[in-house]
Amino acid sequence: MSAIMTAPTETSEMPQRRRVSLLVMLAIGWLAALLLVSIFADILAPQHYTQQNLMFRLKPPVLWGGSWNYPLGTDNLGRDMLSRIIYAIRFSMLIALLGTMIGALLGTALGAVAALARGLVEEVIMMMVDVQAAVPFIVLALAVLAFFGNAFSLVILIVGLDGWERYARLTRGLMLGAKESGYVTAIRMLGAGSVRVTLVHILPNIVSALVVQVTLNFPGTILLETSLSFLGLGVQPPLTSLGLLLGAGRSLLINAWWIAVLPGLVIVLTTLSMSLFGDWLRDRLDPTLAHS
Amino acid sequence: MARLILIKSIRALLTVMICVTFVFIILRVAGDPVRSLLPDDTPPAVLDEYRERLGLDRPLVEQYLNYVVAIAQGDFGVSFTERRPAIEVVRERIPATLQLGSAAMALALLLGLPLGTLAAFFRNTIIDRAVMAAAVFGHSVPHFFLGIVLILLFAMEWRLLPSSGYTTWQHMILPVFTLGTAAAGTIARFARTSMVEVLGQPFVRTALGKGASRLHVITRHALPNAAIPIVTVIGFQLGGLVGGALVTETVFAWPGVGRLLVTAVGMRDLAVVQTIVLLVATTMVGANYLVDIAYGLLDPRIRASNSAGTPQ
Repeated sequence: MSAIMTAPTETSEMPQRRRVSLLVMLAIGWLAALLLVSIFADILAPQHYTQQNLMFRLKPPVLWGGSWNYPLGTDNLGRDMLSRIIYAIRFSMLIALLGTMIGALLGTALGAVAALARGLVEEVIMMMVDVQAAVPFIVLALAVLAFFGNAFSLVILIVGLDGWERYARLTRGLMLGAKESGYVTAIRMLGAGSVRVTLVHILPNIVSALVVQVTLNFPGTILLETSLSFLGLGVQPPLTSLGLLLGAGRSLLINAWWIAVLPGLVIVLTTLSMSLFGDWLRDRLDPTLAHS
Repeated sequence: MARLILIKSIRALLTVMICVTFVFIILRVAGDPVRSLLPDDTPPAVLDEYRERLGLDRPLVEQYLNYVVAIAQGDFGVSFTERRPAIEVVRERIPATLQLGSAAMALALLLGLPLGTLAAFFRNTIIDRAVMAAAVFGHSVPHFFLGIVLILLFAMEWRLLPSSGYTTWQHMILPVFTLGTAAAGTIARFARTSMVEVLGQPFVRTALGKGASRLHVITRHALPNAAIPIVTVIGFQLGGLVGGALVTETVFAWPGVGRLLVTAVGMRDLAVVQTIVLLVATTMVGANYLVDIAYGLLDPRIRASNSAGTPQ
């Protein structure tokens, strides 16, 4: 916490902030590619992801002696791994994006309510934040899935609930800070009401911090979904996800390593890119967060 | 200090109570437990009898109180897959998880603290960059993928280590490494940040100026002052460790609580699931409580500010 009070930028690191490093460019490129792949999955995938071809089971990728018909090999039912990965990217990205939005909206709203209402409402919301932060979310997620089954929409909702408490805490802190600042006092004196001040004046001022939080949360959201799916408790077949592909490939590791390793590499590159992008964005947009 | 401990204790108790209530609500919302216990074609009279026997015909408030009393007495219900008390089923799995978790935590600290300190001391050099790159990487690789790659290489390709099981010390190496790496990455990042801050303080310059050795300055002057953020992140890492243990235990067929939870969720063994949720919640709240108390012990300023009546 004391980090906020210290000087946010250090002169020795200043030149790095000015230009975008190669690594960050690569990360952004990878993320953009993923987005395009998710949108154009139907055009890009050579086959449908459920299409089986039992004549060509467990074919290795082209660099390991496979054929160009199946550049990334096939699985135990002869399904094209490239197509499966393309669609898995679409499903995993869709869940992660929707989930992130749910968490960000819910958390920001609750944080704002806490900061505006104060008193008992604030106490209750912050208590919920403490509970959420105290218990590992994947355990709660598993409990809910155990009790309610794993429908696709429920998986999205659960993934979305992960991390709401971070937005709530951040929003509340920033809003309490903003309420004391000169510009809010000035607008209040001009006669603006609480809602107007919050939505029109405070929110635009804290939105960059929230965006940074979104990018920092995103890898966690992907990891939660892929972990749940890997355990067989998230996305259910015939739908697919990167975690599900990896989980399915686990039992075939001896015969066909690529079924598990390729989706795994996609996950690693994605979370890694998002972390790099998030760190870079944080340094650019919100120096006060640089040490947290 | 006494006031601090009192406030923290009340908060911890409240948090546990909220978790118990949460589980109770979910249990009730999830549907009629009698229906999931008995076959679909059970006559309604038998269903009613079971409801009465389980106390499900009582008012909700009474059910809730009974539930809390039962939990307090250690009665978490009966596992329907194993047909014995859920608490027994869970208890048997605890030692394996503790063994894995503590070894992974030890590894994370042994790797993360020195590396983070090293990076801070050689800030903006190639050493710093390499350590931080490794830390980000360790943090980004999911447990399940790291575990699978390790199995592929060490167990299948080179046949050096067993891929699953629990019997010898060799069985521990891959799971502990899998679980410890991500935590080590996070700890290294935090250790670096707080060390960088402390190393910039005047008292460090003074100590170095007096001619004290670098090692002495780091261990005696800088580390104690950087300890608070590091203790905090260790507290946070416990949560990550629990989540990671779920996956790691499943990948390596490690007979711990995490794997039990995954199978119990798959089987819809609700008694076991709720036992584990409450166990984890209590453990985590307890750990955070200890971390909060440790703050007070580590930093006299926090003690003072709290006894002045401003918690948090």
